[in-house]
Amino acid sequence: MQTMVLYAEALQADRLVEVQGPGHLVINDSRPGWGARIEFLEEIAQAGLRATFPFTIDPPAPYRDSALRLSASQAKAMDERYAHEDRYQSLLFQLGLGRRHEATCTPWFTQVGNTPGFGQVLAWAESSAVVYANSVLGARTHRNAGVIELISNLVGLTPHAGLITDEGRRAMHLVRIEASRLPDPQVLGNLIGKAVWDGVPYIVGLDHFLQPIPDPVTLQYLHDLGTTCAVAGAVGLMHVEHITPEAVQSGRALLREDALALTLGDEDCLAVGRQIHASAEARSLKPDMCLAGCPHLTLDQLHAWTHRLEAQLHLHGKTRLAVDTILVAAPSVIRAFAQDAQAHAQLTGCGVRLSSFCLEGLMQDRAIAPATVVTNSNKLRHYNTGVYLFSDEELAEIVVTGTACPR
Amino acid sequence: MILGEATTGAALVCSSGFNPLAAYCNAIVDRTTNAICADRQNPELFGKDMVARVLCVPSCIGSTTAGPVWEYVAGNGIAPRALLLANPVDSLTAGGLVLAKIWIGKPITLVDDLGADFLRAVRDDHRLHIEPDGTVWFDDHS
Repeated sequence: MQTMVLYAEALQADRLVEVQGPGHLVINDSRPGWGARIEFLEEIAQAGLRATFPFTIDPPAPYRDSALRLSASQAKAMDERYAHEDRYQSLLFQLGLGRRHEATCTPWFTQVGNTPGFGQVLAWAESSAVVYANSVLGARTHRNAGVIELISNLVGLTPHAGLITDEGRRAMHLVRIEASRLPDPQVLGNLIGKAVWDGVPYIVGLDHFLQPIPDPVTLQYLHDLGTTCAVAGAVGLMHVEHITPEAVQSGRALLREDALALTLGDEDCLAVGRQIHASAEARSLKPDMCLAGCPHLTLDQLHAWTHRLEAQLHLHGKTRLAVDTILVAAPSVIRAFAQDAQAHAQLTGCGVRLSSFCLEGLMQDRAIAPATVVTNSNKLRHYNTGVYLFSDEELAEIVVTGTACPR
Repeated sequence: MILGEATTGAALVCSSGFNPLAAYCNAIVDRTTNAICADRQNPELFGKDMVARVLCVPSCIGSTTAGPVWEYVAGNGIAPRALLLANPVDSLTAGGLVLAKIWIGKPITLVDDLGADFLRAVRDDHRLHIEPDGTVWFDDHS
């Protein structure tokens, strides 16, 4: 409780309020610096603490994951690195990790089931999940730091400040999109995140291109946009005019009187697109691996990848991919995908491996990280070296042909 | 001052958001005794050792893994002496530094809301003095 009180004081909260639903945790593995300290978990478990609501957690580290096909020496290195992993997971279950739920960074997917309601006060971490919960679902959570989110769920309280409050959810940036077509969300998110940092943007102009929620294309776009805003900046909430629920409900009344205005157009997107997408030089590299699913892929995206790869294979007269390719999604999403036996056979038959581990966990472990990776995730690119960003269409061509030749 | 105690140290300054995970990931993975900034997106800090420096930044950005990151750097002796923010403290930094204080017992001094002028005035290696009430000053000749 002392932790929560000091946290509340630092955020200048007037009080602590009750958490009203299941949490989501970012502290997914036992490595020091990534997860909670094992001594800390032991201490609080021994004290008999348990979360009121069973919580979900981010995807597991790539430990003992058969999709990786590790060498014996790599597996040995992993065993040493994750010596406390089993105990760690056992302690998380004691503290309230829901057995029915699954480890994923997309806990709100229908197949997973941790879907917050509008206005529900939560204590979540995982930057991509927080911005989605706040913006698209209309829930209310701080961007909690790892471990803080666990403590908050154990004591059932969170500071009444910032994104929990009506005032803290008002926008301090009016972002006008004046583009001739729907901007790439990875590019637009990068622009907005760097411009507003931890501010709340009110984005105008995307409704020319996007259908209202719950259109699946819109939901996917907002997921990608929010994720990149949170990586490039510290955005925990974005309002999109006529699209996101609070913007639909309150419109421009959400804008603060002193809001700063910003206009972004085709030229801005083009310039940032050049910065974050693979350069001509990088395109001459031969990729060791293709990784997609940071954050985890949806069921629709798995089907889209199946069709995309099938088309490229047909175009190039091939039956197998030339680049080792792993797509990751929540376990229940992969199970749902496997129900479509034909699509599953198509995707895995050409060489794609499906798994659910954390791609960042793979890339941040030098014992197992591939040297040169191609991806469609700006988040994965942002945190790691040797990771090159391409559009979905380019990526499909690369994994089929084996090269990312300059265009 | 939000956390910690009076302290003194050499400034390390950047004008863009500070991403704790990206900055400290190599130090954590390699368990180093220094903390060379590994964030390639932050050219002002990239490659510089952050141990015992007074980090002067607008605010912190990026992953919510920042909590365990701040715990780790505090517990393993590679923390900055202080973190000085031009903007009001964000929830990630507040949470991470609270963890370092309460659960590691090694507080990192934090002063926030110092304003944009502060960042314009301070330079790398300026000798910064942080008083118990959060006042920050540096020697003109430093």
